[in-house]
Amino acid sequence: MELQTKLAILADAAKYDASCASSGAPKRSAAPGKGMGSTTGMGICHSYTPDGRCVSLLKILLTNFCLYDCLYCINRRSSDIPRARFSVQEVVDLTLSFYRRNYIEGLFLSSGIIRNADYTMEQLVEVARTLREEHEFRGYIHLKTIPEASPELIEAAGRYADRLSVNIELPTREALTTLAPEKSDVSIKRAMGEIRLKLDEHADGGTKAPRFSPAGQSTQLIVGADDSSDASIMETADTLYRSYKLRRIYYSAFSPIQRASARLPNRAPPLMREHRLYQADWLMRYYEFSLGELAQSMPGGKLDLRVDPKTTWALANRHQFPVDVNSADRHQLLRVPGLGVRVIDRIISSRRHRRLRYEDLRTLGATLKRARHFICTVDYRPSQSERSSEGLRRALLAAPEQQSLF
Amino acid sequence: MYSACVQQFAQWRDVARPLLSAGIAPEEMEWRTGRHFEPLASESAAVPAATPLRLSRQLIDLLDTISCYRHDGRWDLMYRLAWRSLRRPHLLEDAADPDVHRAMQMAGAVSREVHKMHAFVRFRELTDESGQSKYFAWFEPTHDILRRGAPFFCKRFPNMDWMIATPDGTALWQNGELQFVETPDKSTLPKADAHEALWRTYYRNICNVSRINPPAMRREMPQRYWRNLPESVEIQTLLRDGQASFAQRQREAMDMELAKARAMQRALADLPDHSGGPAACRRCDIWRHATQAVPGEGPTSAALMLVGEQPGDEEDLRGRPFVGPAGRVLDDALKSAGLERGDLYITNAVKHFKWQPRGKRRLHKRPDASELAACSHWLAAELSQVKPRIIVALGASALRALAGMTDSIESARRLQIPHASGARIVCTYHPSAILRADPAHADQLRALLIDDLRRARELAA
Repeated sequence: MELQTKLAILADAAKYDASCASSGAPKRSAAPGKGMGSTTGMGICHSYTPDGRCVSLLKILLTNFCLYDCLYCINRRSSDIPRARFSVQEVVDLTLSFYRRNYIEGLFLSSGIIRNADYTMEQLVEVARTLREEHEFRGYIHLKTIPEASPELIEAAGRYADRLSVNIELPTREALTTLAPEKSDVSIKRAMGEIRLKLDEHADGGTKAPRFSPAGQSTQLIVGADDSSDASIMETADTLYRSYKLRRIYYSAFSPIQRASARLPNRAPPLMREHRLYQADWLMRYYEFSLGELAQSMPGGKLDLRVDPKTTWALANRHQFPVDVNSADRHQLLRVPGLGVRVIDRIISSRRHRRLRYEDLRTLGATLKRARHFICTVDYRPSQSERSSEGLRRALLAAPEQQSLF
Repeated sequence: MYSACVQQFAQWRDVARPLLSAGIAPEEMEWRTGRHFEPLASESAAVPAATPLRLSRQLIDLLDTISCYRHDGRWDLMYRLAWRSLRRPHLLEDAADPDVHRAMQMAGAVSREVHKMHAFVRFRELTDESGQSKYFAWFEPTHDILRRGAPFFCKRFPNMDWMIATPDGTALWQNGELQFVETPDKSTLPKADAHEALWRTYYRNICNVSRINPPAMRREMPQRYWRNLPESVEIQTLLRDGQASFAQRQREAMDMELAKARAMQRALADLPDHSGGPAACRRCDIWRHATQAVPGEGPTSAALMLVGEQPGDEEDLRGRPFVGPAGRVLDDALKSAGLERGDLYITNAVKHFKWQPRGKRRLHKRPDASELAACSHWLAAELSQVKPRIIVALGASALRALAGMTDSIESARRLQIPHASGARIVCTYHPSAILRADPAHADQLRALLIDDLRRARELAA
């Protein structure tokens, strides 16, 4: 089979994995005389596809042959898609030649399960080892970890990779049992636990401990393939973050796949739901919201698709507003709809020099369309503070965020 | 009055230092941009005796960054920031200050452009007779960031020989040494690379067409970068492949944009001569549905020039600017501000009427960035002929055409904005904003328009 055809098949097979980050790696660069590549910690998106996602890494499967028959997966055993398999050398060459032309930050390699977990994992590790040891490659490497692979292989993977990930895919054990009968949530969680322990070991051992996956681990949850509620997805996410110290969780709206099982929904991916879950995730990680607080304003365990979760929360907690931007502490400011972390930094810094007025907030970058209902300044108080939350919600809906096309 | 002509941060610093320590106020210094460095020239005597100077690291870094922002006002803003910082040590913490705000915006734009350079440079390989490979890239940055952006590639590719050429200079890495040289003839650079076909295959297949979202793509990868990205030729096919119905509308709009951009590129390429004036202009497609081009009018000796957005329905029919409903609002405002219309030069950023059908009427449609860019040719010609001291930008499109700024009028009207010609831009609301506003708000906007026009009159006097 031609390389071009293989690449087409094995990129297509990899695209349902939402992860694309190339961030979190330590600062390093190639030495004069040997090798190639660098990482800055920030990550770079080298291109964007018309689905709005970034292309940062060469994201491919080593093979899309698979022993498993997970219903949501395009590569499941019973799917009649074309199959292909790269050799280790082909992946290495492709990575290097793309990298050299500045198309990518590095490699994200995953695979269908062939023969058994250890054999598959060995192949992945061998690609990473060849890149690092034989080619002195200093770019980014993200390896998918196969659950049930032996601890030695996971250790080796962590030695060469910047990030490891195991995808849990479904938020509940019930869903997993129904849709992925050969997978077990226990073995997935065990693999995450294994990685977590190695990460801790390294953190405790300081710089002398052997290098292990410096950009940590991540996972993915599919949204909308089963009937789990947003609340149960968030609960699972919260548990995963706390248990395994994940750098991040990717939420991936379920895309209809060819010849899907009748048990799966055949409709456009629920992109707004995915977006709201990311917002809720951010509130929990960067805005000091607890799962419990958010859950209180989610009737039926559902996130409001028409209003963002922070505004929803604020509307349910009107007694905490308006917040005076000239005196409120950081925690209070973080709760105001329309104020993001960076705007809050600027507010705190500039209010040491002036009493902030309403127009100043615009200059500082606040989204006043939302914020104005929840703040007061030297020269401003919301005129409609008497208005009911339901009325306010309708008002915020009446001026929807502009859907600019271009 | 003092003056100097600079192009790089180091030159600016050398000129600014003695001035700052002598306490020369920003108003007494005139900065120009040019390829040929001209150190301090002064009409009066030498700079007064100096006192020692202390500028914070943070300030120096910020000034260094914004010196890359391609806009003539940068040197003046830098000097003002330094001068004010010496008198108000924690000035930079005050993000609500207009100068600090503008500087932060500019610094953000420069950092983003450096980041985009790291992302979007694409090398092509050339192998010489001895089997030695060299890598070439062509990149067109919006700001002067080549020197800031190049060291990244030295760290990443220390053992390759590479060249990144831009329209204004070239970074060359050879045998482990970085040099900045004159840009070679673009036609000597390689036109293709055998791996581009593989890369395009990857790009095509990694895209999930059931979640087509062109606005998100464009936000991060604006169209101006596309022509130097080999993968961008796949975009149109991918958009066609997107089958989910929710994507239909966005996709169609995207195709239209592409077709328009292509048509514009073709038109630009086919136009050897612009002597026909705007009437014969085919640089963009608006002319097709317009009656005629509407050139500016007024004395070419005018000190004050008013720039609107584009002709409206009536203007299109009459062939004169501001003679419709918005023109009447403008006339009244001019009178209240003590200005004679006959003394002014009045024109529009775009010379043809762009519209969409609504019922039986033609409804104004805002010109997009490519159209503003296409028409900037004619605005520049008018500016160089009239040479106004003050340019009044009426509305956001005019501001964008004149200063490349996308700020809201609300914030921009409070800024001091210099124009590349040395003129000063006063920014205010477009009279049609007053027509669209509800009555109470309209009166408020009218008052602001009159205020700004009055201010322009005083500045021009």
